[in-house]
Amino acid sequence: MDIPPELTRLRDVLPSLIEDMERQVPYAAALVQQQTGHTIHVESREQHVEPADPSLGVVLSFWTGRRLAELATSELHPDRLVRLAREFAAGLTVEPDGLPVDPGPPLEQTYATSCQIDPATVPLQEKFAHCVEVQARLAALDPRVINARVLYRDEAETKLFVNRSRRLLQRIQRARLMMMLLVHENGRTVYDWRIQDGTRGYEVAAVTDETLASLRDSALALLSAERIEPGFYDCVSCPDVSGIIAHEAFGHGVELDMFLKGRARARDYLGKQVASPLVTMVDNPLAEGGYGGFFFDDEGEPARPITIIREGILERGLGDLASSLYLGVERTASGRRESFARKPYARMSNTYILPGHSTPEEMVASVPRGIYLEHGSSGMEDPKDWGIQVICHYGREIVNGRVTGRVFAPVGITGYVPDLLQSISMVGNDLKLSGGYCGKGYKELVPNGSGGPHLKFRARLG
Amino acid sequence: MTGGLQAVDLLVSPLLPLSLLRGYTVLEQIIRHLQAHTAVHDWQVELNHKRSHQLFLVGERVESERSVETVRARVRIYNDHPGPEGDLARGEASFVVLPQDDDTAIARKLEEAVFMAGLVSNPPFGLPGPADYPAVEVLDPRLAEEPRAVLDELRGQLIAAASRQPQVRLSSSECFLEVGESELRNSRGVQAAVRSSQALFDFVLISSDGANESEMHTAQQRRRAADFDVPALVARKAAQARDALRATVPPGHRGPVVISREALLDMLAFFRVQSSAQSKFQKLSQLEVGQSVFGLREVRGEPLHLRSDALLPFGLNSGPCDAEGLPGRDVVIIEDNVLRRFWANQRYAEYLGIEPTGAFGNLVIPPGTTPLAELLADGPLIHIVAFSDMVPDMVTGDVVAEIRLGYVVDGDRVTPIKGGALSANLFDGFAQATYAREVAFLGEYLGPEAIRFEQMVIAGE
Repeated sequence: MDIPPELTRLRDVLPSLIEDMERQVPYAAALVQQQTGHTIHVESREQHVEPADPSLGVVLSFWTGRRLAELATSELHPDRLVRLAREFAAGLTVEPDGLPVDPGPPLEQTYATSCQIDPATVPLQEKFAHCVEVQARLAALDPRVINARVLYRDEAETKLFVNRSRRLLQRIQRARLMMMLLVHENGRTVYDWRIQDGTRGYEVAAVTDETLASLRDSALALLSAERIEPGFYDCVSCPDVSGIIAHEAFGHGVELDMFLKGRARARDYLGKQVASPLVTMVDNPLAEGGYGGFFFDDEGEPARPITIIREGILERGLGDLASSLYLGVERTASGRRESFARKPYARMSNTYILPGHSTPEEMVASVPRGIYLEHGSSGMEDPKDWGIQVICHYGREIVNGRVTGRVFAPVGITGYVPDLLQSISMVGNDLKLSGGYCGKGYKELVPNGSGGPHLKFRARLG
Repeated sequence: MTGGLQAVDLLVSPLLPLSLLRGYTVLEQIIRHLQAHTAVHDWQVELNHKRSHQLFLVGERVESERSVETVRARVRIYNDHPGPEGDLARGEASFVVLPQDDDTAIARKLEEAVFMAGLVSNPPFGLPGPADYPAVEVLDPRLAEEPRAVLDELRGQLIAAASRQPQVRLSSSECFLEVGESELRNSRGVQAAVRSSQALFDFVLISSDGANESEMHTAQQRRRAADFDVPALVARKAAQARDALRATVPPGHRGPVVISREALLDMLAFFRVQSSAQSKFQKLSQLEVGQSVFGLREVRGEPLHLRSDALLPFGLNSGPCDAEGLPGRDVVIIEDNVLRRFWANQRYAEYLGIEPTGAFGNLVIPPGTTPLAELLADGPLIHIVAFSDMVPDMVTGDVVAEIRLGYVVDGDRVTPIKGGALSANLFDGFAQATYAREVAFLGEYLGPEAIRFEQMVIAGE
């Protein structure tokens, strides 16, 4: 694994800086971050190629016993960094009866995501030519196409974490290909898209004719989409919609900083039934290919899968360092930052419901009248009041166990989380993860994976 | 002022450009590289220095405090070359120069950018040239000079205001104060510098009646700390938190819906996207200059007027110039429902053959003539004050958004609601809208405090 020179220099300097800082405070740590990669954007009348924002910087964390003080800077020159750290630490006060931080057992390790084709080995002009070619295929799909867009991005995120016992380095390779088709007919303009992504390499850029045909068909079907009559429906959700439901329902609601702030009703339901017994839900930073994956979190905690809900029973939450300390619970590898310039929060990684035993076909066949929900586009949590909002780009009518040609767009799922999760009556035997970016409230975006199996449930749609 | 080094900061006058003020030499260093490279046909450099102080509370206790300082220059280069059809094409690419980058690193990044720019072929376009830049108030001097004192004051005001509210406690808060200094130069002679401030104030109040709890979260951004008016903001959000305690899922509803304050912002963003030259060029917008934005729909409400105002004092999108050096302006975008012009940067203005307006400023809508009380009088109607998340489809205008808090208003009877969803199309909705006389300033919006839509659908019980 190629280590950026800035990180190599700091890897040798930071341990002594940490030692120096811990003369002032009970615990100190450092995280250095850097990104490399490219974005290629091709549409019918425009093209762009850009390097990834380097997002290069360091954050020094000082635990004073009761609070986390942090200095974040783009200054990486070792001498200047040491001077800044000393000036910052000099202004800190250590609380006498503070909570002790366990730096963890000694660990020095380097990790890297594996991928079939490392994007760094593919010439940029080859990637660009491929995007141009895919865009041309998209644009030629139908005369009603008025714009076709291809957006390819690969990013290698390198992070170095150092505390008094750990020196960890990871390189997370993420890649994403998004294809969007804009179609117009009879004064109506609509669009649809497909995304292929993951902690993967350039292999995500391969596009089959079946994918393009499916995109064309769904985009054209939206030209005649209707608004859905608001009401309660039997629903079957495709994996990406299932993923947003899991993420919003019991993902954010079990982030332990929300417990600490009194913002999560889930705190009162640990060990209690919150979902159908068919539901087992996990957060797994190590899920293969999951877009939100990593090997250690931004506070140096090694990643491992966490079961949040087991057979409908709420088991545990996801904790960052400070929340876990205050609550006196075991840490999970859930301390994540938007960048070195932002604070760590308790965050999800790849969150999904584990597969069950039903085939998607059986699930659709079991619905006399309902909606097949596709293409989750956004969601919002409400951990205190257990509301949920999931917006689907469209839904297809199901009548007598068959999907008809009737399409509704957009379709919003709203409701009370326990009602929705306890109404889950079938869980698919499939599992598909997809990527995205998740905010904390309305900011702090981090890469995230969601998905899961098909689910059958009952919900209010509008 | 014309050309040269321009003073746009009201605190320090005349303001020296960042490069001189801070002793940075990297800007000149970068420009030397750019001017020496024969494949760079145009360029732009923006040097930014940002300092941020961040304070996080859990309850009234300080959970975390952070100090962030970043310096970076974003360089954009343009390369002209024969396109695939043999005609002249322009490519562009950008790169970031960081404090530790030496000449070798800058030269390497420049070569990579030139290579990238050479790959892409877009229709040619130019860059803005020197211009007279207006003086715009974008800096809170106190926030810039005494950020820690301002943080302490906001914290104190928040805790005091929350403690005065019955049935309500402070759950958590976050406050970010940032001062940015930036300097812009380009190959056509643009030289501009600005010093600005920005504050984010985010807090959550939890209401309790002993048996049940509910919460109200708000996140607000302003350029001046004083614009938060913390006591009034806390009082309003505390009242909403108490109402949320007894809110129930609304009944299904087809008819008038009033939407107010922050709940309006994301809806209005739809018109900003639809009226951009970029959206028009990319065919995401079907609007036409000189035609009604509502197409053939019958407009039965008050006409929509909408401006992009980059000169609004302390507006979040105000500034003497935009990110590429076009002067800040106050321009009419929609007047009497008719699209008067697309807002456009230099590139998309040239593509569409229209006048560049610069980046979209603050969204300004003139107040209506109807008092809010009258908008709410003719019920039964639904009054929405907070959505869980409002994400309009920026192409179709369709929206589905869960109601975080609202009210069923029927004469004197006002019943809080939450849950259920607004289901609407924004073109349809605004074609039958009435605007409140009261005005709200919400950082990047100045306009009616509420808008009444005559025909919208609520998916409820």
